[in-house]
Formats: sequence, structure tokens, C-alpha cells
Amino acid sequence: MKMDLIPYHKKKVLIIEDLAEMRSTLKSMLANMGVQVMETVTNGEEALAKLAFNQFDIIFSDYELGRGKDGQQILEEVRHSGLIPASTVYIMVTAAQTMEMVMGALEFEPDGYITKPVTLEILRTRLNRIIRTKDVYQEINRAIDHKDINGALEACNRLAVENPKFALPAYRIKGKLLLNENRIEEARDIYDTVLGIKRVAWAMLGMAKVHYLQDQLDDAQKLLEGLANTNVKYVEAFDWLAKVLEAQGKLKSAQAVLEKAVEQSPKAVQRQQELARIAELNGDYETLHKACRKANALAKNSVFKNADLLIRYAKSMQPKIKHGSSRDQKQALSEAMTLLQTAKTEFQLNIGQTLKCALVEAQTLFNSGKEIEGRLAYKAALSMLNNEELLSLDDRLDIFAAKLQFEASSDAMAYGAKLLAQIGNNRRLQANYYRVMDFHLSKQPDERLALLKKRGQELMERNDFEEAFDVLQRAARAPNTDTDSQVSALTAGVNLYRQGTRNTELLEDVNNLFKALENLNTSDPRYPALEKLRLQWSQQNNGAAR
Amino acid sequence: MTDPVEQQLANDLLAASIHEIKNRFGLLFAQLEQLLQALPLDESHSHNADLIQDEAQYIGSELVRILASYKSLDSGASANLDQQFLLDFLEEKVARHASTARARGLQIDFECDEDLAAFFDAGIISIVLDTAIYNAAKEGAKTILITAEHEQGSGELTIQVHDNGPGFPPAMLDAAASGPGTIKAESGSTGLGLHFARRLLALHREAGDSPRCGTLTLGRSDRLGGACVSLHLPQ
Repeated sequence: MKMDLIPYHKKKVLIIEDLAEMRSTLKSMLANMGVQVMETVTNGEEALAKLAFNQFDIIFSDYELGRGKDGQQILEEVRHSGLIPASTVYIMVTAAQTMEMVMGALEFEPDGYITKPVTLEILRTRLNRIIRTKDVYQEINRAIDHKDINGALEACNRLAVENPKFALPAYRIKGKLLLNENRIEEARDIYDTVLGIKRVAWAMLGMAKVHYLQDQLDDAQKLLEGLANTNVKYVEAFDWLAKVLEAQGKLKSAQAVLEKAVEQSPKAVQRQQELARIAELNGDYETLHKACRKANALAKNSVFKNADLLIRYAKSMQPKIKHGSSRDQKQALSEAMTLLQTAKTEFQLNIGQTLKCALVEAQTLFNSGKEIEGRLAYKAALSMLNNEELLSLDDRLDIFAAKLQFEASSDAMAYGAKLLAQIGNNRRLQANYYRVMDFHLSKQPDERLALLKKRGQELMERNDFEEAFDVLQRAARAPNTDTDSQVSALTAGVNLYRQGTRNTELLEDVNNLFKALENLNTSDPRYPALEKLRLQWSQQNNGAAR
Repeated sequence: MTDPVEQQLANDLLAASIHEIKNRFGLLFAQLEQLLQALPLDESHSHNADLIQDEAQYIGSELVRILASYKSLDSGASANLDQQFLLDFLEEKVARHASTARARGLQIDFECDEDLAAFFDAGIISIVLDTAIYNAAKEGAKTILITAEHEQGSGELTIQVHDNGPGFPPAMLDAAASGPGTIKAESGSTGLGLHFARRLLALHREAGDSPRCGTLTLGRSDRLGGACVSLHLPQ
């Protein structure tokens, strides 16, 4: 076995560790191994500052760093912004319990892991091994650092031929490089080859990306869902599954997938932003607000801060500004205005962002009771807009919501009717259109109920029971609800269940509706329909009971 | 208790309470360690303190291992078969046991071809090997040797844990095939650990098409004369 001594005395080491005791233990162990130059920092901010002006050969980062950024976030940020070269060895120190979660981060992988408790024996063994392995990829990494992608690809080929033991890892790097370069066909060849040998998770994920990029959404979905059922917890697989679902127009499912991913990695800032974006498209203010709040805290002082996030966060505060307690109202108001100000001063906004920023500002003023200022700000915003064709339909829905608030009802409704025609058959945008209307009619309960019932019927006729149930439940839960609404909601719910949707929430909702309709008179014309639903329900449930 | 729902509930309850015990124990152990360090101890007492710490570490890692087994079994997910280099894998495994092994006067080594690579779920195999190593140590072995090689022909990967302890009682070798009940009655926790290990290996299969899964066999070591636990992993 070739065992050249590693010249530790020439290596410059950075230790990122919040616990003093662990810092000194690690330092003395490394000194014992011959390391002479070591620097330590206690958190992510310090690490980034240190890395901006200094080069290190080896970085040890604890994964769990208390309140601030965790080791994975630091790694993502330094690799994303090119703060450390590919040739730097990055080692994540983790507790055994968090190992699985840490290893789920595929896109930005450290060069190696060391699990606690760290003894000199383990440190020496692992570090030697990690550095020797890194040396194997030296040529590839050097080319990557020189932005010589073709050189890196050739180095991968050479490694695979000259050292067959590393053929698969070489293919893995190659696939990633090719995808980054958008050379999709070549990446497909690589993943095809690997999957022909073994169905390893990273190749399945790679192939899923290829499918997605080539618009083979069903294939991508199948692979990603398969991955979710293996022992490996690639959080990245969730991200791509959400993308695939979004492209298929299944935005609610996409949101559910991202919520699950965020649960696994609550500190991943880009994922929180993705969740916020999708929640906004779904009109889910609660999730929007939560995700924005987290993303905003995580993105502070980082390259991941951006104008969309700031504007979105301000938008998510509208319900609080309008309906919150006076203390909440005041706080949300000042926060929202600060966010919008920051967006305007720190970023170069494009036309869509400028308009959206102005509209949110107008809403913020209006919702906080400053109606005249709100109206003026709205007028100013609209005057900026000379070519509406540049805006997406989502942006125009925002305008519609503002028009309902600020303009005469008939003008706003005319705009809405035109918009609805343009939306055509897009389920998601239709749903959002009706959500805007629903919100607008919150002070006119009779009109609101009528709207929800009409929309619910339309959806039922199209067999879209998922959306229908959502809408009709809102009708059935309204204070002025009626038997028609309840029976319709029940019909949608039972059909949804029969289509295969299974969750406790649906079960509970349906049971509650049956209970609410318990006393429906047998002579009521709707009674036979109810009886039929009851029968279908009991058949379904008997079949499902385990 | 044959109702699967009730069974699941009982399992979850057990897992949750082990989790809690593990955390509490961690706190307790940390306190104890501080206390022991602060005390002026003479030679014999400090030996006792070492023993206490050693034992506490053992209990701690045992609890972590049980929880990890339970989690792997409970998820019902198929294994994450990725390419592993046996040299790296076994080197780390041995290093991880080195300090506790030394405290017990136990020698642990491994042997494998430098370029040996195979597909397996490192998490699952790691738990199974830990089980075999702990069992060997508990039965009084002083030398443990882990070997790994590809079987000629089938191409299956075999990892063996040899020791120089008393070996498995004949009854256990006979009963090995007949399930957990008999083993448990014979030799208490050792058999249970192996039962878990066997079930974990059964998870060791590719999703979907491949019906072959990992297996575990018990025997006498031809290298060290004691017990030999063999893991067979289809490739």
C-alpha cells in the first residue's frame, strides 16, 4: 500500500467550532499530527469573513453551531460564491444522530465527515483517508478552479481509465459538471451507463434532473418518488420533485413536498425561499409568511438575500396589518415598510419587481388605515405601467387585487373578467383568481357564499374534486353557510376520497360534515343524495380499514 | 397483541422512551464526568472512575445503536446501495472502536484488498458490524479480526467478524435458522442483537426488481478459533 506521509506541517487549517472545549481538543490533536498553522472561529459570520481574505488547505466545520448558520450553510455559501477553491478540503464534524440529515445534502457535499466523539485515532485515520482521496481528484479540481471545464471532464475520463476503482466517483463528478454546463445529452449518457451497473441514488437523482430538463416530467417524477422511498434522505430529491410537480401544474403537491423538505433542513435558505415562492403562487398566506420570516432571517448578511424575498415578505404581512391586534399591526406595518425600502435601495429592481413593490406598498398603507396615502401610492404605481403585456398573469392578479381595493367595483370587475378570460384553463391561476375574489368579498358574506358555491359546482362538473373540496369547505365553514353548501362540500370530499386521497384531515372533515347534516329531514329533497353519500362512504371505509 | 396498529404504537412508545433515556443518560453522564474530574482520586479509585466512564460510554453507544436499528427497520425504506471502498469503511470502523477496545484489552484489526469496492448501505452494515463486535467483546474475546472479500462466482460480498472467544454454543448454531424465539431463550441479549442484525440485513436489497437480500450466518472462526459472524451481501 502506497503510504506517502502527508506533510501536515505545511497545511493551513481553519476550525469552525462554537464550543471552546471542542476547539482546543481539536487543535491539540491536530498539533499532535504535525499541523503548525491553525486558526479558529466560532461561527459562520466569522468564518466567511476569515475565508474572504485567507486561503486554507483544510477546513473543519462543526455541523451544529448553535443559533447562527450551520456547517452546511457555511459550506453552501462558500462554494456557491467561490470563496474557497475546489481543491480545499472541507470536513464536516457531526454528531452520529445528525449524520443522516447532513449526508442528505448532495449538491454541496463536503469532502468528508467525521462523527463525534472525535478521538486522535479517528481524526488521524479519517483525515489521512480524506486527504489521500482528495489527492486522487487533484487534477480534476485544479481544472475546475481554473474554470477549464473541458479539462476537468478529460481528467475525469483519465481517472476512470487509469484507476478503475474511482470510475464511478469520476462519472459522478462528470455528470454534475455536464449538467451545470447544460450539456444534457452527454449527462444522460453518463447516468445511463451508471444505472446500467447499479441503481445508485446519485445517478437516479442525476437522471431525474435530465428528465426534468428534457421535459419528461412523468419519468422524472417516478424516479424522484422512488428515491424518496429509499433509506437515503436526499433533501435535494425533494427540491427537484417540487420543480417537477410545479411544471405539471400541481402546485399544492409541490408545496407539500417542499414543506416536508424544509422540515428536514430548516436552515436551508434557498429551500425556504422556494417554499415562499410556491406558497405565494398557491395564495397560502400563512405558509408564505412563515417561510419568508425564516428565509429572511437566514439570508441576512448573505449572498442569498434578494429583492423578491423582501417584497414577498412584506406582502405576507398584509393579513396581520389588516386584521392583527393593534400591537401586531404597528409592528408589521413598520417591518413591511422597512423591507420595501431595503428592496428599493439595495437592489436594482426590474419592471415586474418595481410594480409589485409599489403595489405592496400601496396595500400596506391602505390596510393600515392610511387610505388616502394608499390610493395615491397605487395611482403612482399604475402610472409606471405603460405596457402591461410585460407582466406575468400572476403579476396581473396582484393588480386585480389592488384594483378591487382601490378602484370602483365595476372597473375592477371588468379588469377581472378580462383577466379570467386570459387565464383560460390554467387551474392554478383560476384558483388564485377566486381566492382574490373571496378575500375581496370578506365583508359581503352573502355574495361570498354565492361565489364559492358557484365556483365549487363548476369544479365538480370538471371532476376536480380536490380544488372543489377546498372551495366548498370554505363555503361550508362560513358563518352563513347553508345545507346546499354542506351537501356539496360532502359530495366533493367523498369523491376525493374515492379517487384515492387519504389523510386524516380529509377523514375528519368528511365526518364533521356528516355530523352537521345528521338532522336533515327525510322529506328534504336533498336527503336521497345524502343517503347515497353515506352508503358510498361506509363502503369506502370498510374497504380501507386495516 | 396481534393488532398491527397497536403493535406499531407499542414500538413507537418504546422507541420514544429509549430516545428519552438516551438523552437523559447523556446529561447524567456529562455531570458524572465533571464530578469525577473534579474529585481528587487515588490510584485505585481513578481506575474505578475509568471503568465507570468506559461503561457509561458503552451504554450510551448501545442506546444510539438500538435507536438506529429501530429507525432503519421502522422506515420500511429500501437500502441506499452506494459504492463503498472497504478499506475506508473498515478502517474507520476499527478506529471508532479503538479506544473502548483498548480499555478492555481488546485487539481489533481488519484485512481486505486495497482496491476492494462493493455496493451496500454503509449505515445498515455499520450497525450490524457494531453488534457483532460488541457481542464478541461481551463474550470475552481478546482478539477480533474483520475480513472482507468477494465470493468467487456469485460475486457476493462477504464480511466476517472473527474472534478468539468461546464461540457460539452448539444449540445456538443449530437454532440460528429457526428464528428469534429459540435464540432469545438460550442466550438473552446476544441472540436478540443478532436477530435485529438479521432483520436489518433482510432490508438490504435493491428497490423493486432484485429479490435477493443480505443474510447473516453464524459459525466457528477458522482464523481465530472463536465465533465467526458472516454477512453475505449480494451485489
